[in-house]
Amino acid sequence: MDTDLPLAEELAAVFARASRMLLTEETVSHALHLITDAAVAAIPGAMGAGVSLMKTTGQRLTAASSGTIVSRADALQFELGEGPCLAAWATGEPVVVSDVPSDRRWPAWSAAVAPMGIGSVASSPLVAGTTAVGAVKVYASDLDHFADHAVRLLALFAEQASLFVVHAQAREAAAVLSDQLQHALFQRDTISVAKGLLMARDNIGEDDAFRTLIAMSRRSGDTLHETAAALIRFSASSGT
Amino acid sequence: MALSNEESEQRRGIAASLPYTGLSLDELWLKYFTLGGQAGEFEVEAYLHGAMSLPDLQRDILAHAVNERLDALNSPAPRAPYSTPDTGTADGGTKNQQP
Repeated sequence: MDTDLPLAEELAAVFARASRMLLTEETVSHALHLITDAAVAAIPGAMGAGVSLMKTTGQRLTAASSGTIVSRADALQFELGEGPCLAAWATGEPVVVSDVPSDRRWPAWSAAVAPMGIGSVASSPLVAGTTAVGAVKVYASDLDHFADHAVRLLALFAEQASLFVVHAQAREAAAVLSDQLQHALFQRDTISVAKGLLMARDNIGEDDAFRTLIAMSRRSGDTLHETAAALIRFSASSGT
Repeated sequence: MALSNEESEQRRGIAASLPYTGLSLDELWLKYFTLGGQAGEFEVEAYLHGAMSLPDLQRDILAHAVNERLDALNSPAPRAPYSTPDTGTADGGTKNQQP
């Protein structure tokens, strides 16, 4: 990796700042917006940037972009099923379109976006491990905007962005799991208290109390948790 | 097969109902754990494959987890069997129904 790229240090600083922000904003969509903002700041002369996450089938999962033109140009790739960012994702290699109006690789897409004032595009895949999970792309209004070093810079950027996305996805998944676990522990606790009440009421062991609770739930058709909660309410109101 | 006949039969019933819940093994285990189940996910998976035995109470909690899910879905699928066939035998709410 080239270390003499003009913006490499600045890039690291952008991500360091973004990572701190992520401590309070643990969503993937927020991470993607940070990435597009950072891409525009990092690539000189870019008119806008976008990032898309894709399923393994090539369908778009989620996306963020720095403006409506980029957003439209991105969406067109998925509508038409062709374009540089899909190619970058599919090949795992950076793709450069130096002259959008005359480029013939993705004719339908080029014809659709050239009138929007897009002159050149560079796109680089986001790779997690060995899997391409999406692509980041920058757009410029002039032709031939992305020289070799800008493409290398974008690849470097994509590498950091990949880590960032994977990290955000893991955090989001962990937050969901933690909500589910809290819910599970809360219900389990209620059931446990009800079990204790039955043990005292019927002078039975823990397993028999559990069997009783299951039998009550089966008979009433209420869930085990509802049955347990009702038992606790009843016990509290009758003072037993 | 390491399981007794009765346990095998219950296992087959639970395994037969499971697909109708739409739950993955992770999700089933979390539901079972939520209800107070004590076996680990590995044990539950091994039990469902007939490779390991579970105590009757744990089997019933697992069956109940499956059935609560089917109830929530209003599914017409067959319910998972318990180790005690009849709901009227165990003591419990009946006490409150006496005059």
